[in-house]
Amino acid sequence: MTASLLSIRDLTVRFRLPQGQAVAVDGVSLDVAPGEVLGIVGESGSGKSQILYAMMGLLAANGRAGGQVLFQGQDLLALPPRDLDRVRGQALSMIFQDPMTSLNPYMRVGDQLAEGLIVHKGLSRAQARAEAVRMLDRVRIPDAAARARRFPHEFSGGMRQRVMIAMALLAQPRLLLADEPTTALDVTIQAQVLDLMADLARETGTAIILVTHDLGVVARLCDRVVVLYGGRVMEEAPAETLFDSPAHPYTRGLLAAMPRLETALTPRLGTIPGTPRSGGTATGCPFADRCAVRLPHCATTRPALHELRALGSGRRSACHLSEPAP
Amino acid sequence: MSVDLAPPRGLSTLHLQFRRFRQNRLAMVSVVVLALIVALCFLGPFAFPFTGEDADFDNISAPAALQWPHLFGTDDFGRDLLVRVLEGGQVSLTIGFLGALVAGVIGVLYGAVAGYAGGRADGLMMRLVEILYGFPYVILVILLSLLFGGGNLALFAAIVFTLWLTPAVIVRAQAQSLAQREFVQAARAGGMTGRQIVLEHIVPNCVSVVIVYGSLLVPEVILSESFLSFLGIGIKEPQASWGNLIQTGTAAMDTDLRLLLLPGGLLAAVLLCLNFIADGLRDAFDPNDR
Repeated sequence: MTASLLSIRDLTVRFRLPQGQAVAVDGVSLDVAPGEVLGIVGESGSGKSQILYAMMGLLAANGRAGGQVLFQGQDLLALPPRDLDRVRGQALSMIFQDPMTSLNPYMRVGDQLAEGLIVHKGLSRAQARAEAVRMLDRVRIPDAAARARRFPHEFSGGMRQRVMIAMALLAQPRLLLADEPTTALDVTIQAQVLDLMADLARETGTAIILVTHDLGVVARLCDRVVVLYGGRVMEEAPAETLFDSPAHPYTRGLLAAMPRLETALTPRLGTIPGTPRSGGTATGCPFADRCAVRLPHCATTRPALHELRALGSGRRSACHLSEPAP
Repeated sequence: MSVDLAPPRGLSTLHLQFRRFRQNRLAMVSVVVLALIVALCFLGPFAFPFTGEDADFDNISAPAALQWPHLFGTDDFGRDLLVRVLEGGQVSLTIGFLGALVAGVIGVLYGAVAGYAGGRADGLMMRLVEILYGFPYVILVILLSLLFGGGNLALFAAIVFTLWLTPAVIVRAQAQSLAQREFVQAARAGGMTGRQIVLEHIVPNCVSVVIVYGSLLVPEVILSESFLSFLGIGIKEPQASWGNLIQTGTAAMDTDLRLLLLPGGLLAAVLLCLNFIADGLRDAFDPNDR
């Protein structure tokens, strides 16, 4: 594997709450190579978005991140705010979930795009505007020069998300964080927006971390997938092998709950019984309560993430069932 | 009905709101009347061969005969009443608009910073506001008059000092909710500094609230200037303001009502116009009222 662009080591995110501490991310480690598209999947509350927020320094006021986030050799968590501002918006940028609220309603779209270039690249207003129009053109906003002078409320949802993509890619970042970028969009344009994002990223060699709960999206775009549950990595695998041979019981449950063409005639989709545990750190496997194949020690001993050589390279899982005998 | 073709340049929400405001007839009439009164106050005195402080000893306490040069007569020092009222209007209107502007700017910036910063800084800043709220207004004015040696500056300082608090609280609440909005998060993710976010993202988004509140602030300032001058701790004789003219007028109201009616009527007209305008602005800017 090439030197990684990003390497997260033992990241924890905790929130101070009146009734104690909530652990949202519990010792997650992962790597992203330059140009790679990494998918992070998991259900609501699994901590997937919080990983991105922690990296960007955007945690809520009561949140604390621990561990290391090494990005191009710098630990983002230890960076003073001024230096973090330099990294954010230049080498590292982010696309948010809801394009309807991600644009300032009182600012012309072109000016919003230009803002970052003026701040970070020291371009003049006119240069930055021209650059913004060029980028809007690349995300296929029709009549970009005229549209740049319009306000966000004059754009449709899909167009706004394309504007967000343009904004995120404008500074030619090394890594793009996308937090469920298409959940707020109409299904008919989800694919279009995703493909556009992936194409542009490929052209510029930008790596992407794509957080989603949509496995179809993962299958379409990602090189590698990390499955998250209860703030911990359950399984990690190249995208193509994960769908054929899920190793972790949770991943299998997730895949069973995904509609597929070939099973369209079966009466019901699979579900995973139970609900995710809330708050606190599990002493054992966080999925133990809901697992169909749980072993007696699952609830008490935490399974470590280990390599699964039998299933090919790059595959790892955190389950007692697949652990090599000690 | 035909569909509007897209204009060449995008229209901001603000544009649309002002367009809606222009359709409010009462508010537009008020704007015209107010503009006339302002123009009259600032340009009118030039038409007369004397100022409001020049005494005409041949015509002391002349009645309102509508005869040149003393159209509305003179007061008991022989000073022309109309010119004094117009000059008093200059003082009252200047203090009103300038005071509202300064108080508004201070309040908006303070509130935006507090709301965006959040946490402990916000707590401290808001406690300060609450402490200042507790200050008795009239005593504050008297203290500041002593400090500045009386006069217009002390009055102005006192008015601004008490009136910036409410816009600060309003904008802070707005800024707090804006700080959670994704476009502010996106700006932070884009590496914008706190100052840029406050000035470019928070403040412009508070504009509608501020305009509506500001339009209520102007009559409030004018009224409190008049009130203080009426009490004798504001604008002092011989300089005129609507407040102290009304005060002189009440002293003579048994014998000569016009000394009270002219400044009082103008003040009432201005306040009425400002309130109609404020009402129109609120209707045009309130998103719940479409």
